[in-house]
Amino acid sequence: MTADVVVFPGSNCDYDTQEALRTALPGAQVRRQWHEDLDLAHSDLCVLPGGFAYGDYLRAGALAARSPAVAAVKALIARGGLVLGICNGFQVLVEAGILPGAFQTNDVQHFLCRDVHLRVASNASPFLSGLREGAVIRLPIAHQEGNYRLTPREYEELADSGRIALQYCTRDGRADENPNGSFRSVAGVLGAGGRVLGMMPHPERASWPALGRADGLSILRGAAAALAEGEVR
Amino acid sequence: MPEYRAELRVHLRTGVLDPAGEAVQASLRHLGFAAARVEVGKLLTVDLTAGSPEEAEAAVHRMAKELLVNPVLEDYVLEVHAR
Repeated sequence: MTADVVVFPGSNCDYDTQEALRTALPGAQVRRQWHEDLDLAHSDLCVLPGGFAYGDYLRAGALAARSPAVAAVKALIARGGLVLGICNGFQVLVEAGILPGAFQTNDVQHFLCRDVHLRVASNASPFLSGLREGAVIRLPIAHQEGNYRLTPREYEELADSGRIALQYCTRDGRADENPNGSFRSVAGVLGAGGRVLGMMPHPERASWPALGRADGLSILRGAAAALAEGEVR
Repeated sequence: MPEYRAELRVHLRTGVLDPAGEAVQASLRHLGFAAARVEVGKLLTVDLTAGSPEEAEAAVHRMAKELLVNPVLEDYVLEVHAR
């Protein structure tokens, strides 16, 4: 089993993500690869990590989304591999057109760095298969441009096809919590039959049971379970 | 080949929330200025060579479509001048 973390100029969660993957996927080869040399020919899982790729110049994720690495990511998706975009990585997937929508500055007009609660709206994805729908998990967010925009019609289409993965919520799962103004509190969406997950919260920063936070591990372990069962070609 | 300078003014589409504009407007009001609305956009200046102004314009429209503008949220005005 091979997992790869893509490193863009300005990625800053790549080491944490690599470590979390090593914890979640015991025995797997977990590599960090510079985006210009990205080779996913033997990869089962590719993670686009958080950070500020290309300084978020022009728009968050816009320049990284035009990197040759994105063609390799698309090829991995086409042959059934798993792709996880975390925070800036989610923004890259959206800018690349792999996931729908667009990002704007948080409606609160400042950087947010805190824990949030999230409701699993759909678990129709290897990443979320270890969680039941309606479950509430707690993960940290750290972003300035996390205000995820969908048109009402796009939202309905995604919701109807089980592609709204995660929504911000209160501790007890109520919907009236929205840290950044995202449409319908959406924090994560699915693509390619659930094999692509883009999410603003950081699972890798909640993957250390010793530090009291491990909800992120269940997302990374879900990928491991699917890979072990040979769901990925 | 003639040289051109293209100026691309990128702005948020009507109806799209503009947190940066709202923040600047609030600060202006704080200072006592009457600002009914502030919009924060981007100005991109692209120097290029092309066979004609029309060609230059077409090239920059393609750049806008492929990278410079996010059509979900943004719109733009393009002006091309000979240099």
